[in-house]
Amino acid sequence: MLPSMLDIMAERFAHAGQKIALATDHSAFTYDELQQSIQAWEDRLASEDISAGKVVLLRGDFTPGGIGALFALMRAGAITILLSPSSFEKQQEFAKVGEAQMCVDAIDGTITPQQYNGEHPLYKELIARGEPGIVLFSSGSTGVSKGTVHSAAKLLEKFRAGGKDFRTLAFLLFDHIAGLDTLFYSLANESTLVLPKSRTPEDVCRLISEQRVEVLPTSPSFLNLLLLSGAHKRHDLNSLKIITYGSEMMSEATLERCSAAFPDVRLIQKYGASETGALPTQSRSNTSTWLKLGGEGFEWRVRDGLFEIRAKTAMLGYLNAPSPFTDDGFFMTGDRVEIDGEYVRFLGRDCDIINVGGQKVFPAEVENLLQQVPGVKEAAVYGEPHAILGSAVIAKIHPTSNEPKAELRKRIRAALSGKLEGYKIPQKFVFTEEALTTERFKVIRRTSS
Amino acid sequence: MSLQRTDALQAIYNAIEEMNPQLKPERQLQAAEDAVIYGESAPLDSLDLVNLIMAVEQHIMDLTGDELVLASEAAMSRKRSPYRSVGALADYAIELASEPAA
Repeated sequence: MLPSMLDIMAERFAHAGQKIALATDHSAFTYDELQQSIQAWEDRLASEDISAGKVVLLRGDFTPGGIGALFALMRAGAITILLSPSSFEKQQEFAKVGEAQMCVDAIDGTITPQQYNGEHPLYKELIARGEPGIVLFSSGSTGVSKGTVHSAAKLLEKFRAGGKDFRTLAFLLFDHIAGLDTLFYSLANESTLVLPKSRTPEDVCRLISEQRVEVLPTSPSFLNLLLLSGAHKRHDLNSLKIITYGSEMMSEATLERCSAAFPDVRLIQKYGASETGALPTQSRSNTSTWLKLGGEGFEWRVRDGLFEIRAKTAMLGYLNAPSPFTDDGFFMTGDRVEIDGEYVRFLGRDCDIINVGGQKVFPAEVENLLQQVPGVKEAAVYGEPHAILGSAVIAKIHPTSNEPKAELRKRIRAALSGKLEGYKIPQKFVFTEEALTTERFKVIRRTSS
Repeated sequence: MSLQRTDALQAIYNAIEEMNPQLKPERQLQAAEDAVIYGESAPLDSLDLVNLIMAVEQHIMDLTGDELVLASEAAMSRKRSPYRSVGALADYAIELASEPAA
């Protein structure tokens, strides 16, 4: 049997020794120090009786402590539910759906028992295979987040062959598949991962300049904002070699502006989903949204214009939703595509999902909360194209009274904040006196205003 | 349509007043012409920016009954961003409003 990737990575960490593994704006951690941090977490986990098969919610971020805790949990064989600051509002929900038995907080260093028992059948499957697990949550259509259960062993496997050594910025999120992909790629290749404290264009550009970052994995929305802010002109970004973008549609106009602003940088489109992992991709050119997809362990096909993927890195399944796989194991992405020979171009989603800067918003979740706000009789939520974020969330409201619109908007925003992540709170409100439900009580989302 | 500068500024100030309560104290905007919206040392993050722009659009609609789209590819590809300050955004809104309808 081949040695596990966790063992191989431990050997690589030892080999890298004094090389910098993790850098922040003011400090650097060598691979030796990363090993020590993982070891310290392993000792703590053992003392709290966290061993193989334990289901643990990890509150953390791209910090040396968060990364140390994640590797310690994987080495212990635990099933780790990831939770990063942008989803802290959802901690109770994730703990419940994920049936967390323990919570490890890498931010304040505490370990606390949780009230659930971690007996989900998918967890039993992982335990039977002797593999550590990773659970990532993504937004679900009914307002309940969907938990995707992954084998950490499978997610790590594709890094066995080794890749290139780049200084990469950990821009994407700690609890997203693409963020994990960045982390694993960087550490599996004994490279330096640069950890941002904030993700504003100004701070990101400063960090790229100071830390001589070579690869920036990001999203089209962020690139839009970066160009708008002009931050790239105020900092020396000549270390940058590659910008990768994914998670939402890239407009050709943004791509052209980006290419003009960064003439010496390769622009590469990425594609992946929480359910399948990230696919290897190759863009046709710096200014083309056509790309070649796939590689070892990945197959794709198009049925009725919709893109489907079969991947070795695919999740075992959802914790709380029916399987999205076809009988022959393809994941139905819902993404509409065009084909040109071996190239594919993504056209958008074939459903109600709104993609706001790469984050998914399901109208039903927002509508449910809107309808609970006093003064709202009915609500319909839909997306509208937006030049900065790709799409904006629009709420059509049928109010109960003629309260001034600005007041009602303010009250609605206040009522939703804290209950919904910021990107799900409607950016625009349209008021109407018309009924928003059909006779069959289906919300009319796409009426023209 | 035509848009007076005072109306454009008023719409932006109204939008700032509407958005400030949901912003952290250090991110709140000043209702002043030279206040920076998005750029160096700007307080807003991306969602805040989009929220503010769309709130301004709605206040212009409330004041004038006309719809203006302040975020567009055309706005994004300008050499100088129309979102750099409150005054620049007001100027941009007036410029858009004076264009003949397509």
